[in-house]
Amino acid sequence: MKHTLFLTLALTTGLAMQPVLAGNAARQSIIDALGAKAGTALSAPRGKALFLSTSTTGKPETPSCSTCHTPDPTAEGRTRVGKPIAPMAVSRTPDRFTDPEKVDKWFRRNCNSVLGRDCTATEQGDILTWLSSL
Amino acid sequence: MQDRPSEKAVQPIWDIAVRIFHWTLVLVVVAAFVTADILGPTWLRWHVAVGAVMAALVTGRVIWGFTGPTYARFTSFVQKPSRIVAHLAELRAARAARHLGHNPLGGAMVLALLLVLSSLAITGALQWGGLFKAGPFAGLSYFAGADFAGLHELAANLLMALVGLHIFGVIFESRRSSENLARSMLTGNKETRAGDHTAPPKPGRPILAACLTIFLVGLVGWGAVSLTSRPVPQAPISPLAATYRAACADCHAAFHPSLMRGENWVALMAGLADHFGEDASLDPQASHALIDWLAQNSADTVDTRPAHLLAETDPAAPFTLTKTPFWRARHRAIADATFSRPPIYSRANCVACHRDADSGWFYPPNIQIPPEQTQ
Repeated sequence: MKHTLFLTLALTTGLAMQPVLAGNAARQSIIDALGAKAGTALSAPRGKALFLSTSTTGKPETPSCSTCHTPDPTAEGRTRVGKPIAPMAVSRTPDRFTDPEKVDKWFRRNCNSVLGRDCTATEQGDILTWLSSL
Repeated sequence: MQDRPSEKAVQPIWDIAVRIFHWTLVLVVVAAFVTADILGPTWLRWHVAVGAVMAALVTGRVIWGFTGPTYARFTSFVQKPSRIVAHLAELRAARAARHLGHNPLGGAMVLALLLVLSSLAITGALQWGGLFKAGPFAGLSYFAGADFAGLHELAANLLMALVGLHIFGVIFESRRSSENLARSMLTGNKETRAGDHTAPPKPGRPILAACLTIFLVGLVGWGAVSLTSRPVPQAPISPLAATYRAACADCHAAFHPSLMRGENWVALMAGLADHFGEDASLDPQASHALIDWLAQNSADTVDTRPAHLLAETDPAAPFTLTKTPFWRARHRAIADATFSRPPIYSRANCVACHRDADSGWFYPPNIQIPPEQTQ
């Protein structure tokens, strides 16, 4: 009886953990790919600095990542028309950066909005490294 | 009872049904006016309910006009126009005798009020159907609804004029005959005087009247309910395509495709790289599929009130809903601070106040401006 209970508990915990583990693997492979493309070691502090920096080269409505995401990635952000954005920190939103298409789409759009250009692999990798470490 | 020897002899004229009808109708007309002109469109459901009660009351009164006791009957007070003219002439000559029931002018007023009230109920239901696709006449077109809205307003103004005239007539006749007629409509009694015009006595048939009223109101109600349950033609698409939500509703509310003309959706989709100050570009394939879906469900394909009202756009901002002339006019009274405060944040956040915004209907009773949040 006790064994069955223990087994059930272990099994369900394991099953519940599975998506998170799969997500971790998927995220790591995205970051690894960016690292390989960057050719240098990725840096969380550099990612943080870029995320919080202010740019004048992009669209005037969005001078910084923090315009919508707030300076605290563990907090909920808000789009310019008031829609909530789930926290960027992986610790708060576990399925962040696990879908390569989604990562591409939003870097493409948001780097252009904020910086007026595409982000380099190093910049993308730095930011993901920082947001995954929080 | 107090003994009052000086009290004049009175007799019952207005039966209890007539009196209850009269004063309930007063309340109903006041409620209809307040819900429509003072409380405004968010009270539309109450206005419609009040109108339905009014229609039932008028139905009952018309039946009572054929089945009620002497002075409740149409035959006792509906006179030929020649009699009305003769009564006017007698009034001018100051030799008109008193009528125990309604005098010819009063009778004409009752008839006019009943006719205008009936037309209010009918044009109201038709307007509600065409404009809001609600109720038994939801199959009517928006433009038919708009026409009936004009007639409804005309009838409402006519009713106000008649009510004013009615009150004037009551005051005039009360002074002329030295008897408070409004009080008579409360107590039911009028003084017995020599030389009064009377009507031949008729028995009231309350059971027949009740049966007929219940049958008729029930029949109309049943018909209305069964008509109401028919599907609405040219309804806005529901639910929204998952691909549309996924592509567009991450940043803002899922604006219903029926809120904008197809050509404006195409123009909007062509400019996604600079979409209201942000890059919202999509991959070309997804974009093409979305343009097709938006065009297939655009304002050109529905007959809703928002689709018609928002169709006229600002030429300088052809796909900014909040810059359309209608939008600006309708939201003029709302302060900038209201739009920017949480949980609204933006003029573009329709669903913050229009709880049914995602459906494309924007039914006025579903408007609720969220209260200011205090932390």
